[in-house]
Amino acid sequence: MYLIIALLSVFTLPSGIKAQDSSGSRIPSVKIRSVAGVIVNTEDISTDNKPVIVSFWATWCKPCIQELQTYHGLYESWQQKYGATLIAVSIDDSRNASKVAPFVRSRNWTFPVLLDVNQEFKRAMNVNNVPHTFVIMNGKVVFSHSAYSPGDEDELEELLKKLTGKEG
Amino acid sequence: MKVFIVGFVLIIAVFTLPGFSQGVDIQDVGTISGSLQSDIQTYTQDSLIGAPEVPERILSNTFFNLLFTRGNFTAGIRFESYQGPLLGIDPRYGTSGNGTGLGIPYRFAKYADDNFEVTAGNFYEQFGSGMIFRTYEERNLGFDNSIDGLRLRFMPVDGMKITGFIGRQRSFWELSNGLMRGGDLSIDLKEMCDSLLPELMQLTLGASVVSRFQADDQDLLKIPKNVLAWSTRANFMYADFSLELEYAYKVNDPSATNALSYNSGNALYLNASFSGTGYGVNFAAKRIDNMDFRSDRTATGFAQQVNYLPSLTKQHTWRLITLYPYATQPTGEFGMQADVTVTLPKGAGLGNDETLISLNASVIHAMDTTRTGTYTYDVAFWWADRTYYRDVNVEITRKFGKDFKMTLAYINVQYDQDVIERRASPNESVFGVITANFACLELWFKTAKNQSLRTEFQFMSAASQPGAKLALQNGDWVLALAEYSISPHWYFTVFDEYNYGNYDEKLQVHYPNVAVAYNAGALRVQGGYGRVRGGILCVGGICRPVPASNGASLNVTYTF
Repeated sequence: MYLIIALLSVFTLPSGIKAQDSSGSRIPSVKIRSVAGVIVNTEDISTDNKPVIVSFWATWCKPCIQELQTYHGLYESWQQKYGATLIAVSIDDSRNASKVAPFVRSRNWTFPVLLDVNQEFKRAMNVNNVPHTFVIMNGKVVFSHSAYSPGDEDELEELLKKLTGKEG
Repeated sequence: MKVFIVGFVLIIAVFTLPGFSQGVDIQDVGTISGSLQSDIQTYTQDSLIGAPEVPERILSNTFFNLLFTRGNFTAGIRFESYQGPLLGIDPRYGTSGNGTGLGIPYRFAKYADDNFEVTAGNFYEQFGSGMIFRTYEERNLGFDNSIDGLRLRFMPVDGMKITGFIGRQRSFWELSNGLMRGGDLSIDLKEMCDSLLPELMQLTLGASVVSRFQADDQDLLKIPKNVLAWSTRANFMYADFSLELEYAYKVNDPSATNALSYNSGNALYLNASFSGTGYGVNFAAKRIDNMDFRSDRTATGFAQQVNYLPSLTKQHTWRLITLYPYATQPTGEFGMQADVTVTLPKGAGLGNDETLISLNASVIHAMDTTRTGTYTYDVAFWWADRTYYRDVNVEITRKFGKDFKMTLAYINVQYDQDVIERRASPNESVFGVITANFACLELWFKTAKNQSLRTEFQFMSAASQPGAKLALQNGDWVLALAEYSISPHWYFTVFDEYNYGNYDEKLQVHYPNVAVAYNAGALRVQGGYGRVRGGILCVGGICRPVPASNGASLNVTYTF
């Protein structure tokens, strides 16, 4: 009964309420540490009109690693062409969180990696499973994609082109 | 709970009223976001593999999250439905509470600014590495130990965080008997005062306390009503070197899981890592003595855990070897793990592409204990001879141009089935130690633009000790898998596990599976059909036994 009321009220809300994928919700504020030990407020990840790719992953997730390894190969060119930034958010808990820094360094990944050890940011972003990738601009989510298959990076690059108006 | 939901609805309604008294623009009243996950499975009885008859024939778990955000304010609910719980998920999700398996077990309202945060309702929290306190949700394992209550956080200055909470823990559709309260202080010296430490050096210190109150309902024994646990930690970083230390202590807490031991508990954790361009090294050691901590001293299994003691072993994902994963023994164990990963650069004697080599080894031993009374024991600091688990593994990944990649893996595991699966009492040997040798070849081909084929060939031999009793699944296995993906929408997977070396000829069976997944943005729909072997499913840090099953499955996830 109460659930029905809750759901009804949610779905009959005035148009001011925005869904994450349509008009773009603001990125929530969660304070988590980077592998470099610096506290990052996720709200500050994107403040201007440059695209920021946020990719949720874990050291035990093979498709995630394949996705980030692919982005790693393209990252320099995406930075140059589109001014894009990539932020990888590891959801590894304390079983593996200490292994993330050596994991990243040994693969020569150059993009920043955040440690979402108790999955606070993951919950705030409504991520069900990893990998899950968002593109954020001006602090708002403009693209959301779950899972990864080789070739998805082409779709992502098309989006970066569209968002920045640059043909690469 | 009903009052809370009505409150939530009212809060949303108030914030969304046109012309809200603070003059909020309608276009700026807030944001609703959320997610859906639904897992549906049909079950056919398959006595050969031990798949039971399921009277309902179809079971399902569904989770629907909603988050409302406006400025510093956030509120959220999660609707859950277990009709009935999928096999392997604790059946109490279908029977406890009002017994319908339907409801909103998670709802909260939160206000947060730069210096202060308050959460009323359910929350997830972790102190340090979680050795005395961690609440989290792992729905694929049927695990949710959120606390329902009040949490406050103060951040008086940069680099300092003080957290306090009080409440009761979720126990399926009810709340736990025990009252939980705790606090944590975390100090980041670098953040607090940049000039205090040399450049490249960071030091974070922390201390926590957590306590449970539960009435003493024992007639024969005097049981502590208040059980206090505390921990202290330090995390030191200098350039590419990092060192973590944590020590936890718990006063005596006779409970269902420690055979009413009156000993206090403690745990010590050390982790060191060092990395540089193209390599990373990690070493960890952990000693645990009597540290099972729950919000109800009578709880067993995965129910009402308050602290988090993950296995100090590599989390394997190759299907066959997941038959033998380690599970931490909170009553006592001593483990060590080392991990080395190296990328050999292009042209390092191995051709024109990079080669990645990962080496990992871990060993977990029993503790050396001597009984000193019915409910007490002495324990030596160092480990005993008995090995609970040992794992040595290597994985090599090699790229050959842009269109072909190969991975080779070898794993050698020693697995004490009696202890890890609790199949025998501590000093008894029934199923004994299993030695498994696993090898895998994975090949990945890019077949066309946006299309690729991945294949896996796995082999595992598993040998039991002479005279040991055999589990249903035993002996040697092979697995072949092919997965074809067409970006960005389609995935097709087919695989077969074959227990060709089972000591019982009747059980030398195939476990074929097919699955198709469709992906569009944040929507994923996956359908599958197959025979699934029983085993232990691990996600994140914890594992649960999953019974064998035979049937079709449908999984839907969506984020909005």
